[in-house]
Amino acid sequence: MKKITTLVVAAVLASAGAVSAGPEEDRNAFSKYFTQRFSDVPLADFINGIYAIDAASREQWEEIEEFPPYELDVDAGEELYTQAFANGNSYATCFGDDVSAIRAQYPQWDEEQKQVITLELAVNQCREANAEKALKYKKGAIAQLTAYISMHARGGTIAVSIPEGQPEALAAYENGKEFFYSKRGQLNFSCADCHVSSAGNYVRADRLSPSLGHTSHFPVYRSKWGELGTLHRRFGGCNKNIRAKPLSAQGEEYRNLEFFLAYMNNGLELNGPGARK
Amino acid sequence: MIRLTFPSPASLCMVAIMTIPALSIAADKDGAATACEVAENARKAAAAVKMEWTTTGKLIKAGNKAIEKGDFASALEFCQKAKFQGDTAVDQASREAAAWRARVPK
Repeated sequence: MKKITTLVVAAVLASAGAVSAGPEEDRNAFSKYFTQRFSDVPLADFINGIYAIDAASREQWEEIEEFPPYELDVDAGEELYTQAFANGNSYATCFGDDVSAIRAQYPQWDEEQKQVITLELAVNQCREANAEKALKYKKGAIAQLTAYISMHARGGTIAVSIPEGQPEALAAYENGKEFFYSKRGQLNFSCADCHVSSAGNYVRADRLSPSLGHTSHFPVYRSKWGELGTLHRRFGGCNKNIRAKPLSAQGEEYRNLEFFLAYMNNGLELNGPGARK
Repeated sequence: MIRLTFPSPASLCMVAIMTIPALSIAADKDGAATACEVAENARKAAAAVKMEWTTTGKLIKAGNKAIEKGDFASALEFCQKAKFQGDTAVDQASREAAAWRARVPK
């Protein structure tokens, strides 16, 4: 009887595995897909987005990076970061004294709050805990602060973890994964349609960037925006492009999406803030 | 050089279906107002499953403006299209609840 039960359990687990792979299997398959598709691009170079696969625009980008358009924002971010709150505390009260250690901690699963905490959300939770008004999530001060924090984290490694024994954390990852691969909007596209299966192809005059490495370099200064913006601002823009109504920046859906995407980038280098077209 | 071949056949079918003339409802003030109300409910249903399209609310807005101007035929057309979009977005959500898995790299 015990033998039969063991066999049944094993069969159930095997069939479940066939339906949905675990995060690490996902990550390996994701990374393998891109390194095979763009076989001349070293894995580590995917953090440079479209510039990893488009030599012509890379040349222009490298010139832009000689005088980075986000430089003044990083300075403004430093000023904001070091300024004391009205109660005398500061961001260091929440994040500790080592600025370079902050970026790599996010996004993270918070066991107590039972939700994914991104860097932007952590900044606002810090502010609110110190009786300061929360910042808006797409641009402005929040992007300047995270640009400053990201600049200090350059060269660090993305290491998102999904804590074992916490099914809610795995569910958040799965929700993000589902969002990424689900078609939406009037044009009926998923994030993956553009940034996985069509990565490198042209949309009008521009090529679609590979998804691998996407989260490594935010916030970014986009020439199209003429300013710095956050990852969730970009998510909203992508959704608009396919005529899907953007969801709230730092709402649960986009935070879970970030959690999934950042996990896919585990092991890659942090290189934010960035400059993009 | 690989060129993208958007839109996909599925998107083209969706656009083609959208051009099918709507069921006949009287193009008077009451008919148009009802159509816009029904469309708003369809939009809300799509928003509830986080799948609303950017175009739906604009169509309803245009429908309500047309009612104000007394152009009930246009209002009816706008709001029937909007209802179709709201319903299609909800269908899209149901379909994608399982279909997304096929796109995950193995």
